[in-house]
Amino acid sequence: MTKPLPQGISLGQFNAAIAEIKQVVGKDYVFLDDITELRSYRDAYNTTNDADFAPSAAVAPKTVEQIQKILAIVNDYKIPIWTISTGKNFAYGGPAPRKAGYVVLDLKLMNKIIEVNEKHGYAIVEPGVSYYDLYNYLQEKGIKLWIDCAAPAWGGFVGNTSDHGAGYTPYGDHLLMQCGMQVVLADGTVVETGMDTSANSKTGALYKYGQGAAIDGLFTQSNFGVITRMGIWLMPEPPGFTPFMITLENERDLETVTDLTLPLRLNQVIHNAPMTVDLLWEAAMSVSKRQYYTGTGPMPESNRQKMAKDLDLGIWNYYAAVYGPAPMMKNNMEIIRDTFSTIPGAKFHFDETRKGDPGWDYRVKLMQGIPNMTEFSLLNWVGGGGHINFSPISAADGKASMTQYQMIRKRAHEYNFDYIGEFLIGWRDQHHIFMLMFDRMNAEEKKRAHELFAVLVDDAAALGYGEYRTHLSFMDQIANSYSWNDNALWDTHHALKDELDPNGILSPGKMGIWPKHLRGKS
Amino acid sequence: MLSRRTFIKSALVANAALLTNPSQALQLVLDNVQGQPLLTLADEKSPAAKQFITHVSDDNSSLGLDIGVQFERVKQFCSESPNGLISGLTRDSDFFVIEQLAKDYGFYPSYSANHIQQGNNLSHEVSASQQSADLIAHALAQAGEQWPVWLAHNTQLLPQGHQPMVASKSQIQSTHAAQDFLVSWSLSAAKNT
Repeated sequence: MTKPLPQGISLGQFNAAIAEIKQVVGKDYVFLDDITELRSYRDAYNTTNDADFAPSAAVAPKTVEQIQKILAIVNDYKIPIWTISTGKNFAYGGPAPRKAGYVVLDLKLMNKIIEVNEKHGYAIVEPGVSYYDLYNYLQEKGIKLWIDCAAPAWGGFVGNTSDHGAGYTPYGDHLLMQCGMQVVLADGTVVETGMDTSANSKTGALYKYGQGAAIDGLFTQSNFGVITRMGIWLMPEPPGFTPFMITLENERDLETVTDLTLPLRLNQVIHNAPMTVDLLWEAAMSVSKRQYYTGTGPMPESNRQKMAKDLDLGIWNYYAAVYGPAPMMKNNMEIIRDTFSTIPGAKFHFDETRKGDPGWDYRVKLMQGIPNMTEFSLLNWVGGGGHINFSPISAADGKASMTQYQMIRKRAHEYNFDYIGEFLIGWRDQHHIFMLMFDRMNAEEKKRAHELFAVLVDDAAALGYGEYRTHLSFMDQIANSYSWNDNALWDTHHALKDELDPNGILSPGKMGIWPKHLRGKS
Repeated sequence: MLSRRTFIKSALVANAALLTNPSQALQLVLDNVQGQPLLTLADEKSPAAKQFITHVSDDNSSLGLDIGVQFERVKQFCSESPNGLISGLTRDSDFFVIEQLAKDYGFYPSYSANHIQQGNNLSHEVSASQQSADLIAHALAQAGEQWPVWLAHNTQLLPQGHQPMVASKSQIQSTHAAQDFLVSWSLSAAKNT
């Protein structure tokens, strides 16, 4: 096997740079073996070729000082690095770099929980701290704070927040709940944002802005620096928690349930982001497709109906929760019952009757910040399960929900895939996650999935929908859809890139932001 | 000059299809590491995986839907038993997650096989070292309905360490119809080559 190398770098230059990096971190923390060590830095769910995203090496520093020295070396050799924290966002490329040959800067060993403040409800963590790590820490210490985790929860705070990820408690907008960060710039300069930069400040994780431009967001979904520390707000354990589920019988109920939800969200009657989950997503927690349909292509409606009946699921399944003192929850639940009971056939479910159902159990855990991996069960829907997520944003509006759903479902069926999706209603917006499941061992199916995804990006853009996050393969295509005023936004990104990282060593191509010498060549 | 062992291995690989006892052949081809620490995981919902785990005498565990509850156990095993073997008969997703977790401790896949039942057709798609892939696929087919038991009894015979993997497939007609997809696998430290 030929070693993948960064574009324009000879094997001699590469080896020389690696030798210097070994001097910095020690040889045990530089990974070079393509078959064993680097296997886990690849995109397991790529829809093209494994080689397209194969790194040349990975290096795992333990300190900011080591990162500074590594950056100095790769600047000298002009070798691109690709930063990851825990690297578990497998629906979007996981730990793999945008291009073959990059060196992965793996921050997994920077895993210190620097501070937890129970009184003010925050933690300060390094990039390698996973959701499980902080959850276990809080449990062991008896600290009455909740985390808000992604599903599945083996990822970490810094990576997920940097990727604009979302969770399921009232603190589910992760970037909104981020406060203060430390960043190493490409030239090795260490910057602390917000109040942290004020001498002797004790409010870095309390007040987000400090004085001057609030720049934290610049370091998310970008390649302008390496985040080495982050403050995150944690929710105090509430006095009560009432999760509920509503099963809905008809496809069109999606429109109604979305419209009924918005005022409840705006007025904080429902405290977390409600999820409207389609039948197949829910069913895949406990059964596989082959148990209900052994033919090719999407599952026929009659089989879907039988599965819904067997598993006591709706065509749509709506999850949310209220939090707080008992009288407040009682009051809110009365409003919620009155509101959604207007939908014909809507059926409420609670812990007393639903406990033990796989879909219910894991959603309830997520809505109270208990990390789990149950959602990975989805991968068994088809054998050799691979997936990438198509994630357009819309207004929290019933018609928009139906438009997106019908558009994606129609296209998915045209390409012989099932529609498996969910909608999450945020503060005013709606995330739509279409999980495009394919057999990762089947080259033809992978190719078809790739083509479908590309078509969906264009279809969505034509209707005015942009994606909030995406897989490596589609970063450029989606960046091109954010093109208003002659690409003014991306020109701004590129101006910042050129100024902050003139050699273009930090994660070239991340979200479609390229250094000058690679721009237009991807 | 070929050693006797190397000669036997070569001969067996060349004549794998003719073997009447592939388990015995595997014993000759691969090192049977008796006394090696072993952690075995199995899907508690699958009848085949249940059959498998009941025949494993070492440290073993049944898996529910949340593989996350096994994280600390796997990490502890990897830390305490760097020369150990982690094996399983699980859903594909569980294998994927454990593989990702164990790699941070230097454990990598040295064997895996998809066991796919579609109606009465049962196929075993094996990925293993050149010298063992055909033998394992043959042995699984020869075990018939008892293939999970064969796996349980031969876990420590499966290849270990870092070797290039090749594919081999066998297929039989099962006496009962079902729809199932399981993966058997083993992870070992690359240095156990």
